[in-house]
Amino acid sequence: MTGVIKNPLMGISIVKSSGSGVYQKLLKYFIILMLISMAAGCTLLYEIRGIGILLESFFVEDSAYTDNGIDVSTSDGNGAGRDFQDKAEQIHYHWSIIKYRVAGVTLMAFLLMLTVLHLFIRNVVDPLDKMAIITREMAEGRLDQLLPIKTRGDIGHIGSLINELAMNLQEILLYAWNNTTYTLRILDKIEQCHNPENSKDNRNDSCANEIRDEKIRDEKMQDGVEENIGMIREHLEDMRSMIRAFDYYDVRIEDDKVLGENVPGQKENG
Amino acid sequence: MGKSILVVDDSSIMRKMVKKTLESAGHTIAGEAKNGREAVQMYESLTPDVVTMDITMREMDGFTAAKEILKSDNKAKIIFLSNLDEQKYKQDAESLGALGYVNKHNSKQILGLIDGSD
Repeated sequence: MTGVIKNPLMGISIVKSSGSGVYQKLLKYFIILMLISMAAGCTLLYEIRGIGILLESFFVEDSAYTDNGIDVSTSDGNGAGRDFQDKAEQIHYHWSIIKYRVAGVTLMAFLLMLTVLHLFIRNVVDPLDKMAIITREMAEGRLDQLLPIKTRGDIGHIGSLINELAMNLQEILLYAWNNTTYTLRILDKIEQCHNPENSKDNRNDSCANEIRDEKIRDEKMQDGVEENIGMIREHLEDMRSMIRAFDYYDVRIEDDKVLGENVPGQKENG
Repeated sequence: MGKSILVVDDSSIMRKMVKKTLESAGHTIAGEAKNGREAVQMYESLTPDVVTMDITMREMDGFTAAKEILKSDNKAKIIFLSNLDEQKYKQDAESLGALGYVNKHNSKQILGLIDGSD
């Protein structure tokens, strides 16, 4: 079953499939990453705010102290107080800018992460997920499900190889189908010749049933049977050569026998 | 005398099979194409003596490719080699001007058609 859910964060349509589960994993990792980065951003902002308050209070306290005329650092107490006030204002101003900048950078990083995630989903996860779903359908026998190849990269290459695998499998199955169909037709012919009363169509010219002379008729039928057997043999040989064209996992075909590779006890048994 | 042949099939295993059959009969493989479009391009550059052409292929099917090839060279020798029903498609193949139609399970028949194509 395949359903579509909407990611509330991005508005990206996500195919929630029972196939690969890549989306679910990706969403989980993204949420973890987002929470970590948000926590880091908030901690940074909180710390900056704390330092700002501390510095501001220090300068405000100092300017108040000097404004009261108890100036120990300079001869001109009022000038020094204004100086402290100016510095306090400057620090307050710069601190506000830093706060906004940190907030802006955090927001930008968040948006960048969303963009990267969107591109990653579109170019990597989405094709991989489709590939997983279609490959499973192919494995279950649905060879009409070929992958649409949209990219030329590695993923596109893997997709075209999967398609080729499906095409080869289809060719082999059709080849086997045609061979067995023709073989069955030939067997029907032979059956017609030997048991014309049991066959569906007992009018078969190659059977020579119409020939009166028993000897000639038998010879003709024998020739027909031999010819048909030769054709069956040819079809079967064709099929065998097709099967031999492959390399097999854990087995090999040798002298009409299917032999196991690395099967325990093979040497002992010969 | 062996001939140069362009093998066109979307299935690599079928190309391998056809190649084996042709090479064992002394012919040389001029090239391999995996769809009709590639076949048309390769025919122009390789100018093989004979083309063995599958029918059902993605991008461009065998009939369309054969028409394109015959348009550029009306003496092109094309043999259709397919899993499709022979009775149904043989006439279409011949009406296009192809040398013949062979079902893949009887692929050795192409050798007779190639030998008789002189």
